[in-house]
Amino acid sequence: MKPLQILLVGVLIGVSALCLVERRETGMLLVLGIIVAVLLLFSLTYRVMRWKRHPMAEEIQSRTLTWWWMIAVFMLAVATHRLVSFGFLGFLCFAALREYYSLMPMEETAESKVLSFKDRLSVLITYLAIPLVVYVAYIEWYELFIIVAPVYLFLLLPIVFVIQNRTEGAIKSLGILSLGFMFFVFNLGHCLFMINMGAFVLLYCFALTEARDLLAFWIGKWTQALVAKRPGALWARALDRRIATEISPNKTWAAGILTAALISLLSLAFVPFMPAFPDGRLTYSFGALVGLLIGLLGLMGDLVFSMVKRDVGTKDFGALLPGHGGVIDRIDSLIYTVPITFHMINWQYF
Amino acid sequence: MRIAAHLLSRILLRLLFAFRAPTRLEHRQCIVIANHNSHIDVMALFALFPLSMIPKVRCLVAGDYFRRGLKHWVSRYLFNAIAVERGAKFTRVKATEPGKQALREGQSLILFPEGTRGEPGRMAGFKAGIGELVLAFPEVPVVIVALRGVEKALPRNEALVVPFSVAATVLPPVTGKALVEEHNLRTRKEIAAELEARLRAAVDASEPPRAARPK
Repeated sequence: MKPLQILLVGVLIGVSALCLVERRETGMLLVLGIIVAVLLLFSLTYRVMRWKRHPMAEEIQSRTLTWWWMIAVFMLAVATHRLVSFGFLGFLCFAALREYYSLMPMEETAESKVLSFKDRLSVLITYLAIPLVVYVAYIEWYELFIIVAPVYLFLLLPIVFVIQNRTEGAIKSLGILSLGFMFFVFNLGHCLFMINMGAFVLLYCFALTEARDLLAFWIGKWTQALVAKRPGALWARALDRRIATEISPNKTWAAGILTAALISLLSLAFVPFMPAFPDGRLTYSFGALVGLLIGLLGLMGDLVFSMVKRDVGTKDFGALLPGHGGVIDRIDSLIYTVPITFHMINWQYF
Repeated sequence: MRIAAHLLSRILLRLLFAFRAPTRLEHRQCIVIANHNSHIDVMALFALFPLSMIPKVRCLVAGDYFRRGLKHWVSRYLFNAIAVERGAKFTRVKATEPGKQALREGQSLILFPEGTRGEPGRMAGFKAGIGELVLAFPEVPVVIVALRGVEKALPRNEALVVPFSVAATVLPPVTGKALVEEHNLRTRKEIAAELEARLRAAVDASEPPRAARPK
């Protein structure tokens, strides 16, 4: 990392920390401190690995550097001001949606057609729905927020097709468009309304989801090593049960469930810092349940977007985040964990 | 004001189209050629240069299309365009002389050898004029740039700009001299054909690989 980059990341994290001190957000400060400590550890690890000429040093290095930037920007967005948080998360939804559409081949030949050039208007309409959703979430109008995409936008797009006087490929195009805005505007958009619950809830959900991605990687390696020791044994075969070999050849149920259990435990550490909700404080048992759901659904989100990638035949969604791939590669689990966390807490405490 | 406009165009490219220059073109003088599908192309190509070099970069545009009104003003004053005649007024000298003049003055040149934006996502054949420019200035490096995603963002005959990811692949520069000596190319048509083949390969390679599903 160049000195200028270190300085900039340091300043960004420092500003967020100062804002948090100002707002007396002890819980968020603690989480920020722990994240920075973990990242420092990773930075040290890749230096050691590079020194030992470990083959994975390069990858860990670029991943860690990108992590520093993502943490710095994300913390700044949630720590400074409500407006900044909404702007940042709205842009995140837009970037993910754009990445998804950009991956779909757009041709006029009948056999390879996925999206058509006539869909550009509908694509633009789904983009324009994002500022609307951001605004509705900002003024905390829950009733409209929860129907604007699945009812109004969903019903509007076929009308656009009718006015365009189209028949050929309409169902296919509508399917791709609907999937896109349901994933990235509606479900991912729940993170916008989550800010209203308290920035700490958002941080809780994001931190647990990303921690799950990291843990799953190492636990997967560890269980594979265990299985490799005694490949024939009954317990090894049970540990080696694959979830979906066509989609992701190496993911096993055992590693997934073990990770989810650990995330459930980790979730308990956040409970004392949760803000007071209208119907009381988050209990430890409910916190563990939400953690478990985050653990399991994070895995599913990961697999769902692997499936999407396999179908269009690409490895990464983009190259925006060095070492990670595109935006969607980083936030795929969030598309499942954010709405579920939101609705679980909303159901019990609001 | 031109610098401010280019700064704005870079910010827009970055935010709306996720466009990031893969490398900066630091050559003192060069000829940039690319596939042409959209008005966004030229914004993206200008964004490959450092801001400080913008005053020394010019682009060749179609005289018949950018003749008057806003189009003319934007191309002339913001993109420093040189109008080249196409169609009925076309002659070989008229088509290449303005470009040669700019190169003689030490300026860099952006041009689209297809001569038209054409059908979205399909590359047309190169006109021979690029070969003539390269033969006339064999020392000037030619940079081939493959652009992807622009045809979705703003195709020809559409007014609606829709954000899609735009990406550029910049090939290592090649000089006319190297083309003539190493590949034994003589005529302007041969040079144009060679450059076209290279760009076409780069465009095909920059498509996201449609890998077969693993068994």
